[in-house]
Amino acid sequence: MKRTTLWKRMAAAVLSSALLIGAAFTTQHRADAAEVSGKIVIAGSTALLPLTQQAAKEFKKSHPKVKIVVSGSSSIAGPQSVAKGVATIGACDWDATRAVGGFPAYKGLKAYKIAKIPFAVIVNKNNSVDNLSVQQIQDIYEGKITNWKQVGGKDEEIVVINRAKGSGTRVNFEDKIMDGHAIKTSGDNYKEVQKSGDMVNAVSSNPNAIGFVDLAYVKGGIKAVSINGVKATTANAASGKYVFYGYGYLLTKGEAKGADKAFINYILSKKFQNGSLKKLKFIPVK
Amino acid sequence: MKKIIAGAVMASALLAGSPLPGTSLDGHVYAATSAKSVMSRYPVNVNGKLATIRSLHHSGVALFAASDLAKLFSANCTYDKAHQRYEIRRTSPAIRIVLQAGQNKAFVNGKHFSLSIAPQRSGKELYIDAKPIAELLGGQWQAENGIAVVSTSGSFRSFSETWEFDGSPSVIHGVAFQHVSFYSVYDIAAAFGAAVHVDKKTSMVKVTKGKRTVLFHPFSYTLNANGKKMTMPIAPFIQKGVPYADLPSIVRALGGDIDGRFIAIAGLIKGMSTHPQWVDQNTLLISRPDDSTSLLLDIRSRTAIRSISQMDLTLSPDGKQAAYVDENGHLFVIDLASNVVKQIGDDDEVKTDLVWSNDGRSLYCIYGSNNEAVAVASLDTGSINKLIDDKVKYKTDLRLSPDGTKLLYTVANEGKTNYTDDQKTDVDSIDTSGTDPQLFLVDLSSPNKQPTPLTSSPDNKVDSAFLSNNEIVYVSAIDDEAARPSLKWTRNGEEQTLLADQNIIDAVVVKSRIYVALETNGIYTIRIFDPSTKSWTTAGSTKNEITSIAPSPYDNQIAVTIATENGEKVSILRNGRWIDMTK
Repeated sequence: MKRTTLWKRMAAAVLSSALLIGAAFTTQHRADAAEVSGKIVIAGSTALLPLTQQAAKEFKKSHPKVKIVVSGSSSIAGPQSVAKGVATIGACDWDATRAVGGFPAYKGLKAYKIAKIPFAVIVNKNNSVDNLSVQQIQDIYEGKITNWKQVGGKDEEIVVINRAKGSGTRVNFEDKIMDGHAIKTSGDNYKEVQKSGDMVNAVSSNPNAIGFVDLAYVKGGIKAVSINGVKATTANAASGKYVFYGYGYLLTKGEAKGADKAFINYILSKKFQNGSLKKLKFIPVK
Repeated sequence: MKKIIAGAVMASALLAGSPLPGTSLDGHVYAATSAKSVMSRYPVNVNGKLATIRSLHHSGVALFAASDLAKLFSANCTYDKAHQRYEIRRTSPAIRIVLQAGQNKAFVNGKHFSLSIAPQRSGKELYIDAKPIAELLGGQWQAENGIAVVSTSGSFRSFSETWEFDGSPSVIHGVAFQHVSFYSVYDIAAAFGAAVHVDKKTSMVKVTKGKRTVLFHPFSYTLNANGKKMTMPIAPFIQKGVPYADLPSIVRALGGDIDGRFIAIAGLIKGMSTHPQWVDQNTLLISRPDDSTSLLLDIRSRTAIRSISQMDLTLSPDGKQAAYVDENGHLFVIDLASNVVKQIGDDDEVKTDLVWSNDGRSLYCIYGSNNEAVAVASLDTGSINKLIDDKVKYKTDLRLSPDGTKLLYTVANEGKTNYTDDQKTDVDSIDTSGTDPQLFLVDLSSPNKQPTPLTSSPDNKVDSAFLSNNEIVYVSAIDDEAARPSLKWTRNGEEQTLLADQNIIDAVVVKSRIYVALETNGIYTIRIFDPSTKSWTTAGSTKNEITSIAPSPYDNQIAVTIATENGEKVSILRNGRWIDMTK
């Protein structure tokens, strides 16, 4: 699909039903057959960065008059940037229109659920541990388990890597894995990193490190451990067998309009959801 | 004694409802053999439209109300009480027929005319033999099994036409009159491999193919296809035992589709179809986003040859193989003839923008989770090596020059999020400077393979491509509502505008010719530029919304994707004619 408003047609119904705003949105789409132009600035989640980058690459082919700048930092930067008006779309690993994990609800923003995100608890590729229970992960991050031999690995101290506050991956880790248990955020073997890429580097460069990242980043020098004996795969996350997953959202100030709306519609289109989104290890929401 | 039969009730029931087995217009109702006269309304198929006219049956003979018959032919019937004569008159074409009850002699435009059956009067109406009067009025009347077929202008004309069924020709016979064509249901069914049964008692026609059953009656527009009602634009009829009907209706009822004179027996492939690529001059590889698969499509029969469980495959230059990267980042090559899939190495890094080497033995790709490198995979050894590892993120649109010596790609840098605090908890601004997409060229024969920037302008650059002499074309656009894209040609270090201010839908280079799809005032046109002659030609235009083009490297066909209500379909432009491949 090239420069066309086609994907708008396809995604219109999807988006309409998602937003519960009915036929009016669809009508608006079809009437909006003129060329879309403008500048989209996407800020926020690094977990969603591969997805937003890929969508931006593809979207520009069909919409050459739309300029897209993507900046990945942390999930909280998504709603913040949109609320402040420095970005037109915020990418966030939670629905920031609701209060989550100590972060306030951002009033006046509209959240579009675009993907199910499978996350992974990761260790260095050379680590012999392949499986951890939720209880063991909680104990490691609470500081109760400090040596890999306690979970069947080598006699080496565990280096716990956490994402900095504001990370959507951290919010999902605390929600889905820690389940109310507090992470011990101090000590020589505790480290915080800013971005998903930093997490990958930290774990791949340290044979005793443990961390978490979205599944799309799992490759090279890191590996995902099974959780409760269930492998970290998109299929297991899609079926719900695998417990560590969340949802990715794009946020706009009020209803998405113009180029922003067109871009979100493209991400929600069957072509992108069943195509690139799946290849990037995300799970379609439709 | 006259007796009114409930023929009208039966006819209306058939008109309104679906034909059901056992519902009939039983011919013998009208064929009263006693001395009694029977009146009813007789079903008539007039130029394919259903009607009834009053009829009188006496001693096995059916006569029809002269005024009703006259009306069918746009004529009037009047009664001259003084002379006890009836007159059927029409002004254009002019005709005057004078008839008298009980008289075999009639006058047509003042001349004698003999009737084999004398008209009869019943009440104020004159009942006449319809066949000769219809012919005098310029048409034709034919009754069979209690239903009359009437042409109001000209006689029935037999014809035969050759149609393509899944690409194979079949002759279909038919009958045409008054600009309406009816096709032999036997012939259509035979081409579908279906069986036809005509119930002699009820005239119900049953066409069966496997589990599909199509039922219809000659006096109904309604057709029942596996329990689903469909309406035919013209009513069918039976002539000499052969049912004739509207061809598209029968084809669709049997599950087929029609495009021009082409009939797809199982129907054209449904659902969203995208990304057509030419495997050879008769085969397309298309993506199917509905179920994340691909199809090999025979464009002659417009049927699927095979389904492949991956979409967005990249076809090799010889069309024999296709490459893809799975959800785990692994690279695979599928042999399209044998369907054998081969994994190329076990590298699981992100790979996008697969590009085949000209010899089909290597695959270039954008490499890394941030698209920060360019790599090449050897199909022979399975090894994947980085060619360009400059850490510049977000490379895209990888192209290989026709001589295999140069790579072209686009880079759009990431914006930088600035914070008000060192802990990076409060966003201040997004720095978008330096994020404009730029083209880079890499000389693969150079030792350091240093990317060279080709552009520095702030416009978007898409559809970049090499010409045969390694010159480059691309579409340039800016984020200004009033400005439309341009087609740029970079040659000898200078940039030339080939097309300015045009709504360019797609631009593709095949065999060193530039194919461009343009939209102007809702008309989509494919134009072709030959750089050697610097001349433009037009391949075709359509009102359908073209979304992408894929010219064949084998001949002059152009595959296109066209927007539909449900997504996209694939069509072909061949010699100026648009042919649907999917729907």
